[in-house]
Amino acid sequence: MSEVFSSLAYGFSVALTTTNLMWATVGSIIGTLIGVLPGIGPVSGIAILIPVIYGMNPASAMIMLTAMYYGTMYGGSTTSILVNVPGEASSVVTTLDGYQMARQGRAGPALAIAAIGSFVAGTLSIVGLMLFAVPLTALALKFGPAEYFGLMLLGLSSVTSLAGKSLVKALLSMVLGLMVATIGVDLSTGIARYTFDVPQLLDGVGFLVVAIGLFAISEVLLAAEEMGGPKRETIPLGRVWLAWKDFAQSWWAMIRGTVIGFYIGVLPAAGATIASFMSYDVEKRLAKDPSTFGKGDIRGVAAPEAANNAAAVGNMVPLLTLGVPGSSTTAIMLGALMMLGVQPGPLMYQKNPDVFWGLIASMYLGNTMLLVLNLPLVGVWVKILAIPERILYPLILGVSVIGVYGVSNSHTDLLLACGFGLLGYYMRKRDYPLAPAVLGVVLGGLMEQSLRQALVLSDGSYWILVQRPISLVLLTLSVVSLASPSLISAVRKVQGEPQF
Amino acid sequence: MSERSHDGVVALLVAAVCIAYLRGARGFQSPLVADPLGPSAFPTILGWAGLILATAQIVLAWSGRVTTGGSPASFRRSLRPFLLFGLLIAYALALESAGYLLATIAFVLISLGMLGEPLWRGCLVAVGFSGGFYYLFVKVLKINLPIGAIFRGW
Repeated sequence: MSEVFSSLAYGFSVALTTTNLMWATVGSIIGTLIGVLPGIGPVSGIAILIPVIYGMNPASAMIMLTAMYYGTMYGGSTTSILVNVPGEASSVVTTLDGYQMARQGRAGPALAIAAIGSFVAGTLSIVGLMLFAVPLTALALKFGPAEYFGLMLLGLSSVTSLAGKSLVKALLSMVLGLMVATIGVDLSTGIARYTFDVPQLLDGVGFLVVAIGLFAISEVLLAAEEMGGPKRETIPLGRVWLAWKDFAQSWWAMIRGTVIGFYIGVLPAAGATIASFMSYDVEKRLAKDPSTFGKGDIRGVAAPEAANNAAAVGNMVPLLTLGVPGSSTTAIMLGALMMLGVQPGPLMYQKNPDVFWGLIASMYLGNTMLLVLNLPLVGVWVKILAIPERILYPLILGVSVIGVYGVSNSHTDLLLACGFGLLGYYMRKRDYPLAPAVLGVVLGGLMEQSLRQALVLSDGSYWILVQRPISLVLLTLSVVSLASPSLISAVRKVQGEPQF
Repeated sequence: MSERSHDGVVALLVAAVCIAYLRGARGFQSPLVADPLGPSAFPTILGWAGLILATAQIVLAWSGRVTTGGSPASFRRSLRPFLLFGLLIAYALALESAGYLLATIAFVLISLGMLGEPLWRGCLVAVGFSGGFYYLFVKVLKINLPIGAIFRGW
């Protein structure tokens, strides 16, 4: 335990430098802005800003990205409460009671409890992250190629199993991503695959190109089609203040939300959205009078807000210790880390302790910073809500193009990003989830290498994948995670319970 | 075309891509004996997996057990993303020859006009955005942006 605290102290020495504090502040502000702005989701927002971190020190870059990630969560709750428009899926539940509170003239307490709940959950979950991270890293150090293959398959299958409405479409999306990852020179043999004699494809298709195309460009294209809905009505803000009675009423809801959120966040793919729904459900079941929920009960804001922030931290556990992202946002962060030359996973703890511990320490700072920034600045965020969406769309496209070109200086990459944008637009329209495709691109190369290395060790026998106990467990978990949503849904249908 | 048959057609296209992908994989021959899997095995697995899934999707689409996209939009609204995409491609192609500043101002201005923004506000946004990002990329982040053939001699 003392090693954890000395490492954390080292992390603080990294995070508390003037430069990193500045990046954390910039990240918090940009993240909140993205969370508040209409027409751009957190994943797209983070994807288009990856070029900004290109060339930065990896520790500073990750500190900024993490602060942005947190910021989007905080920003999302503001729009949920004041406009009844969730900035992201995990804020949907907040609209149920948050917007009702705002309509009753209690927007201030709703925003305050959202910020405080997120702060409490974020801070407590970081302790959980530290406690989980070290033993998991130690276990992962025993992994060989077969275990790594199983781990990546688990990451892919768990993200795929919960993405979108159709498992077949989600699997197709994953296969598409893996196919894109095979483009370029094969590292083991030097053979060019699917490059069509285009020299720029020899290095493969960059993660940034795919992420910006599939997430940012496609989101704008779809939003442009859906533009012109009813005008958003923003409810007057009032005083952002929380009475002691409200705080006391919400305290246990926050704590329960934190525990549920962190636990669910650690499980690959079972992210913030499920955590927020589940914590809301638990509070409603525990309440003496459940009929107050949905009519402006402050616990209906505190619990899901705490849960989604705790899940965001929980999501970092598989990313940092095993190199497996548990959500779209952490998949983008994984790609960003790899772009900066850092391989997340057990070796990151040894090879890049500044990134690992700096990032954990920066989460404490990010939470404090967001609490300090957001409560006084909430009036500014409300004004930003008034920006018409149509102004934002061309600007997002402009940033996407400049970002891709600025990093690669390649026309081919630019056209590829546009192509992925159109593909992403169709995928969104036809309910093909995007996260499995991006994760496939990020993990595809490593997955193939692990499989080939494992088969070299076993003289070509596939049995190695099931003969090693950890590998067998991981493969079994992959199958279970793919099958579980269908099984749970079937059980719920039989029991007549509502589906999430 | 109904939503269901639309899904089926998309799945057919995916199946065609998988077949082409599988044909491509046949051409990768490894000279290394030490690599039992070789460069073609992983793409072959993926190609077959994609083909099986696309076939399942075709069956689901035409048997009626399929999740469909959102409600169909009006023709004018459906055209908007394609016009925006066309502008984006033109912007991407013009970036090097016209240079960052000219191309970006023109792209933002035209797309804002297309989305119904008044000209004066479009001009302000286009110039402000292009100038701001030029400063951020070139001066702060030290990332070069194309100056364009017209300004190259200046």
